[in-house]
Amino acid sequence: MASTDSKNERRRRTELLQFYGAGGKEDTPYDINSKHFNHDMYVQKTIKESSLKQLLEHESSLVSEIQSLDSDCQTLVYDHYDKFIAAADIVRKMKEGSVKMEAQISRLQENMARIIASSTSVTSALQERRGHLSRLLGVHGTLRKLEFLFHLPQKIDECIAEKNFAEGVASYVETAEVVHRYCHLSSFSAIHEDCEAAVGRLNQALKEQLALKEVSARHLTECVDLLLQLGEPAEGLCDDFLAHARTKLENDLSNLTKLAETAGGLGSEEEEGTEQGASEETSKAEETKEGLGREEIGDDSIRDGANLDILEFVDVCHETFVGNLWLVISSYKEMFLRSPEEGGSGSSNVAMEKLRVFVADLVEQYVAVVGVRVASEPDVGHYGQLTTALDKFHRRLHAITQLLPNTDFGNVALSLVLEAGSARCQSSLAMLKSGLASSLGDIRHALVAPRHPTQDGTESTHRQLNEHLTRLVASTAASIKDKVTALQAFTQPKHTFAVKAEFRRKFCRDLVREGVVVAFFLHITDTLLQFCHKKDKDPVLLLVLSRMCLDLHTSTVHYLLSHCDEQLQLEEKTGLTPLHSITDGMREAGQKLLNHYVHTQGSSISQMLRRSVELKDWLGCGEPRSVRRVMRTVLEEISTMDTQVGALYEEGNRRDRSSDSSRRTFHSVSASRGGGGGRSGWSTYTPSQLDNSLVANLNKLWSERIEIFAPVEFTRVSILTGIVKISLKTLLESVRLRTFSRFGLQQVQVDAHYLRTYLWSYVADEHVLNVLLDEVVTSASVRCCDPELMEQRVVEFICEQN
Amino acid sequence: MLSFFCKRGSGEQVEKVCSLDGASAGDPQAPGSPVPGLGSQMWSVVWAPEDDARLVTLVDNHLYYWDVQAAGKSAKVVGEVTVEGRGSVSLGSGRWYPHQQGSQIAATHGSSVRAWDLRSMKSSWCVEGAHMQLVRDLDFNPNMQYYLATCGDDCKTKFWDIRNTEQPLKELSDHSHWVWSVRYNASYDQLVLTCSSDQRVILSNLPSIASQPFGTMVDQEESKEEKEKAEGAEEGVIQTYDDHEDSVYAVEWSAADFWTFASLSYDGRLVINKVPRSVKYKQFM
Repeated sequence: MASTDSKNERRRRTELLQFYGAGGKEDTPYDINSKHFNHDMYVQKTIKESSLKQLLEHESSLVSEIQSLDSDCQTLVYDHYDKFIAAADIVRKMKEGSVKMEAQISRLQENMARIIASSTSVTSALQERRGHLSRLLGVHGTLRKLEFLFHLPQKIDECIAEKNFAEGVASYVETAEVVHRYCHLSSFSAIHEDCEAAVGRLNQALKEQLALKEVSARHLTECVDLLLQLGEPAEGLCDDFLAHARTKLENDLSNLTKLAETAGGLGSEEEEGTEQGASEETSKAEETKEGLGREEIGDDSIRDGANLDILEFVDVCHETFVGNLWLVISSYKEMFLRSPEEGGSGSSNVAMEKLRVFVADLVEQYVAVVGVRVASEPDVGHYGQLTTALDKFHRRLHAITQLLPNTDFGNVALSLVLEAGSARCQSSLAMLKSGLASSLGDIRHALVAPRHPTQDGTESTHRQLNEHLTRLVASTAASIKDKVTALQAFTQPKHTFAVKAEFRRKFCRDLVREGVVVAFFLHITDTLLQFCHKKDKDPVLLLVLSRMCLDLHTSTVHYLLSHCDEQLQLEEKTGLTPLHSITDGMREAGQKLLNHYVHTQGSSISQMLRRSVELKDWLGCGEPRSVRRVMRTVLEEISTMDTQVGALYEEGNRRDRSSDSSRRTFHSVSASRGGGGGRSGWSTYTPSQLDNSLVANLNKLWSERIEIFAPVEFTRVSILTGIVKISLKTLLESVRLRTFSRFGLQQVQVDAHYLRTYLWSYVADEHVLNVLLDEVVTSASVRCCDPELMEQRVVEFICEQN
Repeated sequence: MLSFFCKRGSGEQVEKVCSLDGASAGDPQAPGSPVPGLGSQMWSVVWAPEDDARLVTLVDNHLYYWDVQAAGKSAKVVGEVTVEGRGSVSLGSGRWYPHQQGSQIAATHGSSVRAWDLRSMKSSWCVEGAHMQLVRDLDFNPNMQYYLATCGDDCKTKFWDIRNTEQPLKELSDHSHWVWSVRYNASYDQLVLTCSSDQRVILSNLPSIASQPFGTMVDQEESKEEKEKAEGAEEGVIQTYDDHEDSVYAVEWSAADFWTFASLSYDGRLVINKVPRSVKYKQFM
């Protein structure tokens, strides 16, 4: 025990020490407040360290401290004593109080016992009287019932007169059993007969009510219910009931049809002015007003038909047709199918079947009406309202399905929704197509109009073409995204039909992705390909379009398709058009457009060159003094094309040969006229050597064949090479058809050198350029009557002058 | 100036028949230089197919119809047509129409083909815009009365029915440069030769627009599928000949042998080829 105590104390002390922090450090034998205080050490230390004066002061302070501690101790002792005395007083008082209480409680017990005794005596005294009274009450009741029986026939008649059928039937049903039981008594049999007659009249009156057309569904239900209670056969009744309900529901339907047609007509007549429409409306309304009061809703809605949107229309449907149908079904079920186990399953099955046929027929008509209305809904670009309306429609039909087992109106409704969705998809696709056509048209105009003022400004052409391209691609992408977003209204999870897997699969996969997005991409490819066959095309447009195809191929299609898949939450991709088949098509289209661009531009330059060669008088021309003008024009054209192409396409690879140093070696070779087996055959000709075209032929054996109209790559250099190849080949062929004088040949030589000097920067492989130009000069020299070439440096001199 | 010679007897002697130099004979100049009355460029000279005395020359945009008497007695222009058009587009090559006793001649003109009736010297029909660019040559199907082949600078060979010139019957784009000449085989008109400045000669088999050999018409219906199997597979290029090292400008079938043809290229090489044996045998089967 002692050890635990000391342990506890130590623990507490350490906690306190931790709390006071600084205390721990002063935990020395010299601290007067410490537990480890050693008075001897302290005294010694104090004496050692302090002066006499300090010692005196210290002593006095210690004394005063001791005195104050003493007085504190005393007050504490007094306080404790006071409190103890007060507590002893209180305990004594409590003892006295409890003695008094005991006496009072025993008195209360006595009183209670007396009260109980008197109450039992009163009860026993009243027992007899009470039995008598209850017997009298029983007799009175029986008499009242008898009186009621005697008055029953009159009462039923009264009820008929007052049209208070419910009460009449209720009273009859209550009493019928009694009457039946006692009808062997003569007095009761008379009553029975009277009752039967009255009930017959009641029955009649109810049937009359049933035959009336204007009764409400609720009233009708009541009548039928009463008749059932009167024991009419259910078979005939349910037929009557359904027939009656049918006329009413069909009335509703015809009203709705009118509404739907009005809306449809309104859509088409909108521009023609509302006056006419309004007058028609009012006349219709007047006609219907003559009809029955029950049609109030229909009447109103027809009047409002002009500004009834589809949501309101569905609401009106719900209020009239669907609501009534619901009522009919539920009351029918209540009346005729209440107890299938008891009433014999056969008859209730028949009744059920009747109901099913009835409802199916009406719902079919109803769906048709709604279909008309939905079809006439104009495509406004956002489908929130439409889908909400469709959702309401679907949900209500679905509810009817649930009410009526073994039917599937939900699917019918779903197919209508799908139909509406596919119509929207088609219109979206059509809008996308027209949007594409118009933006292509815009670009076309933009390319034609402002090109002339900016043609010389490289930067502006650059920017302009790029702007056109980005605008075209961006607008295409944006419009696709818009459409997908708009169509997403159909798949919002708040709509019940959107949750169905079947719908999602059909709508998202077949309609939106395949029907809109993929179909649109294919349409783009087709449309752009058509530009290859049009005659009045602008070559720059071809260039922009080919670049657009490439952009679509590399990124946009991929992005848009994955965006679409993501938005529609398409995970399973089997059976869908794969991405690469679209992008491949795009690339192919881009390639074709680009090839077409090269061919067009090449042939326009060809045309220039061909005509210039054909029209010049090569035999009679003078000594060449300058490069022919047409060559400069050709160069200008090519540099313009280079700017256009450069704005849209990357540079691309070229062979090393085009570097500046190799050009110089080429010149030095030609200047020294050395190396007969050199690659560039023409430069080896000396004026006396012109006949050895054999050398050129030999060279050709080694050089590879040049494909003139070969497909080009999507790079600037490749495109320009294509154009230059076509142009030079034309020049070659044209030169071969002419005859030259010496000066004519020299002119060709000058021109060729000029082209060689400036065209090298545009082509990928300078070798091609050299071969073709050599070929031109060789051909000209062969067609020359006095073949003599000019000195190379004179040629260079003339070219530098330009 | 243009002179004609003919070879007589054993062949040692070549005799000048006549020379055409228009109304006034100019002094002889360098070859190809302008000849007065003939214009600067003589592009084509064509003899009538069945009449030695008739020929047509195409000069610039004029067409001259000559009556040439033997032994240089006389040569006179009996008809002349001038094609009006924007610019100075000259007439290219011409061909006599091989049917109807050679009463018509057709010539290329820019990107169109025009034909004239030589009896009235009036235009009889025309294929406007037959090719995107220049039309280089044309040839009539020797066995099908209305079929015409053209080729041009758009690297294409087209086949036309001259009764309906809106759309070509068929288009071939096998060449990679201008097509300079197109020739039907005189006997088996499904065989068509083309040559091009891409240094190639192409022999094509086109049974779909060829005349039907005698006999196939009868059992056409019953064996139609078989026929398609047999011939449809080989429709198109039979063989490409790239023996030439430079542009090939002319190609002709042999007049003596149906299966031989020659092609001439810029470098002066004349190549004589034969139709592949397998194709040849198939024609007989």
